[in-house]
Amino acid sequence: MRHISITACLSLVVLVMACPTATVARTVRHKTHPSCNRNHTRIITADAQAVIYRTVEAFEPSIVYGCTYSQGHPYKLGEFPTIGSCGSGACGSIGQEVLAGQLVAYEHFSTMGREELREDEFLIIVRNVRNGHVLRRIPTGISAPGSRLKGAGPTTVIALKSDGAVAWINEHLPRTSETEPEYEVHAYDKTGNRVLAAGTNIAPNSLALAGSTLYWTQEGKPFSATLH
Amino acid sequence: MRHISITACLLLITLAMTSSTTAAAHTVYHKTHPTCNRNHTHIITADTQAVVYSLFDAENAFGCAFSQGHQYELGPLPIEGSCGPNGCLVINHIVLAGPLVAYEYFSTAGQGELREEETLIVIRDLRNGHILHRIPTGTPIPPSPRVIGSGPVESMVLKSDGSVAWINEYSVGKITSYEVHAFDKTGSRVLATGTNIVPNSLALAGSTLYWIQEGKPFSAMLH
Repeated sequence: MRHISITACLSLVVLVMACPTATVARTVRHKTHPSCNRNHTRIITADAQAVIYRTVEAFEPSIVYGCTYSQGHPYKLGEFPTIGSCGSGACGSIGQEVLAGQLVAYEHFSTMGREELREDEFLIIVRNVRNGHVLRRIPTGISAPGSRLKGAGPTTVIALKSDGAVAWINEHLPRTSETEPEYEVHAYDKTGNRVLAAGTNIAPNSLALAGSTLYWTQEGKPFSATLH
Repeated sequence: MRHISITACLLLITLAMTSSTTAAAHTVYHKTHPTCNRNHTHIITADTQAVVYSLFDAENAFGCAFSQGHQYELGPLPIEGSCGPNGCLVINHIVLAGPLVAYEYFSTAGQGELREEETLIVIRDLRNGHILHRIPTGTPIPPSPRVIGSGPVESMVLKSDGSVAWINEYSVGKITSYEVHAFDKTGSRVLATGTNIVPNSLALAGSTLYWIQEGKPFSAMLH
């Protein structure tokens, strides 16, 4: 009889302890699921529909993810560039992330081989972070014939419309002068891929977008074009 | 002996209930506090440091900085019937720059000759809710003691240091015109005026402000 009452008492205690834990677990799962899991992360950019963030773990590569609030599912976009991440051999990283609704655009840089056999690739990638689909993979520009470079060089800024039209400014490689880098303003939209401007006098971070109007500064003056 | 064991059992149950409730409360607080509570909300705008949202009734906008996790009510959103015969109060054109938010604040009170109207740009810090600036959208034409500001905002941009620029619409008779305004460390100034300013053309790249007038791009520095 005494054994039975002790067992009953212990069962009650276990039940009481388990009950709120289960409720809390259910509540927390409900609360965290739709808003993208961002524990131990740093936000790179965010808008009303999505967030781009990177992991921050000691001694681990920092991985960039994109996630829409409506789906709550993170998609891996690539590796965040860190010092020493491109030590030797092949490597790749992404940067210049920009959001427009549920679309993200970023530069993907990869390199293979060493010294004379080294091949660099600079791409603009547009993805839908609602489902992870890659919509566009565009070289940042046209490299010189016979060059081991794919794309024209690194981007300094990217502008994106919510329909996937994208524009960017990139530095043109290889440099013809040690002191003055040359920049190009590119647009990729329904009308195709085109270079809007080129020169050493383009302000590399001057790109801005208002609706479909694209702006940049060259020789200290404002210029505009329509991003269709 | 039986009484003792019943008492001990009840004590154990009470202890278990207290400790698990405290643990549960602690867990929920820890998880929800630093990220702004956004359950049952619609996000209006967000950036890396803050978010502005409305509840699903879409009546009021709230702002919250992720670092603090505390929400501040910004004001009522424009919905059908928000401006009745006795006046109205709405906020619009909400933009974020870091932990700062800027929005248009429009209010009216009274009727006929006693009608009072106020159109302001409000800049707030979402880390503490403080209002940093309340700036009339322009000078009313003709000047009136019952009118503050000069018409609705069409577009607005904000820098993370609190500098702000906007395009507002105003009417003189039947003619609708626009003004490009800037408010920064150098003060408040009108950068352009005309019927040929494109109202949604305002854009910002770093400290460079752009707009379109007469089909041509213009720029100025927002200090």
